[in-house]
Amino acid sequence: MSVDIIDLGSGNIRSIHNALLNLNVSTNFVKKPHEIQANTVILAGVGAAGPYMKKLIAADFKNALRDHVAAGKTIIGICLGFQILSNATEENGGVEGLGIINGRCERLNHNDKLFSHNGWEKLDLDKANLLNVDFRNEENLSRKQKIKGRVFYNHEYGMVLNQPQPLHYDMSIPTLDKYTAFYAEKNVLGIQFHPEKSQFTGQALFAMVL
Amino acid sequence: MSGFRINSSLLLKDGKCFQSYGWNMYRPLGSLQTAVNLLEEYNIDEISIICPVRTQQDKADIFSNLTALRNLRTMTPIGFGGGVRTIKDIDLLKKLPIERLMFSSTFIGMDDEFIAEVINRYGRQAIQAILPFKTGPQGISVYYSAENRFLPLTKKLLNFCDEFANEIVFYDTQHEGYIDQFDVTAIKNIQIDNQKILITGGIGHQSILQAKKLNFAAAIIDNRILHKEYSVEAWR
Repeated sequence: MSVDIIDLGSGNIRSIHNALLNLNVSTNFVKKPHEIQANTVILAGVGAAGPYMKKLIAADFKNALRDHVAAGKTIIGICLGFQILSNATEENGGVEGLGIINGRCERLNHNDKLFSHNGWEKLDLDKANLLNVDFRNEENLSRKQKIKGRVFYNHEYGMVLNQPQPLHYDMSIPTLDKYTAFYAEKNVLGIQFHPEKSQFTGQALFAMVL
Repeated sequence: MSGFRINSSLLLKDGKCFQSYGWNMYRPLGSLQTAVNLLEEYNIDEISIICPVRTQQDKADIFSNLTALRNLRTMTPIGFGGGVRTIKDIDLLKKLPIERLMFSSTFIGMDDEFIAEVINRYGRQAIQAILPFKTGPQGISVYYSAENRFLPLTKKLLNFCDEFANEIVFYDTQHEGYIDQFDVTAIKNIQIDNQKILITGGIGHQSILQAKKLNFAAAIIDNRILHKEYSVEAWR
């Protein structure tokens, strides 16, 4: 199996490559839309939304990624890559997203106090729920049906869905429970935490969704 | 905003890990990959890899460490710091498996243009300010390696760190490598949201209990954890 990772010359994509290597999944770093070959594309991101989106547009990925999804192929957005799938984010004074997920990203806040969310939270995921929203993985790398573990977050902005979706998990701490931690629908998967840096749980998640 | 984290630091010099005592003595620990594997096995929350830059020679040497970092295979969050002061240095970090960037001189020198550019590239959530401090009759001072001297810790510097850094690491240089010697009294009244504060240097079980009580974000256990890495779970 092979997965394409969008490479905009910034952010940390090496960790995703390493995590997938552990599962014997080969990866291609893709710098131009015509280089996309795999059914599954990962849009990872460590960075600020404004400069990241500018690079995405400059490299002609904006329409290419929308077309990829429209063709029924899989996209996995991780952290900033997940946020960019939304309609817009308020980071950097407001940035338009790809509009693949009907939501917006806000600076994390609760009762007008701004927060950062750094650390580990529980993840409890049942594969049956993914199948219920028609999220199908190509290779079935794992027969594991349930994942219970902990995952690593490091973000200052969070996704707020404009309407409830069949499968989305909100963050597990009360002050951040309006933000989405995990989203799946058909061929679109959005993950706010970092599976590539979530030790055994992250590896199990990749095996389940790829 | 999240649970208390127990992290570890590793000093990296010439591509190998070292244990350090009191800021100036080194003892070899082995390869970076071996050290990281041991820590990962016991579910350490994050690992901060620091290249100690205390002389101009050290600055020249840090780039030999990048190969060790480039080859590192881990699924534990990694922070990296030491000697990164220019955009050219930042470019060398591209595609390394690191999530957090730790800056000391950049913050103490209040280089806002450079920090803004790093935030553009990595996001503010990735930035940690590291303040190596000591206490004395004049209060707290921080080590400014660009000028090889200690400077007073001012309100202006703290505000600068608060504005540009996601988290602030207070590094007790006088107690590094020792057990339960971190000087909590020096920083417990600092006017920064405690949830942004990480402590390191002289960390032991008691220091962790103190840090939890003060609602700090994390304690970074000094690199000697490699002699009792099994204690991480118990201390959590």
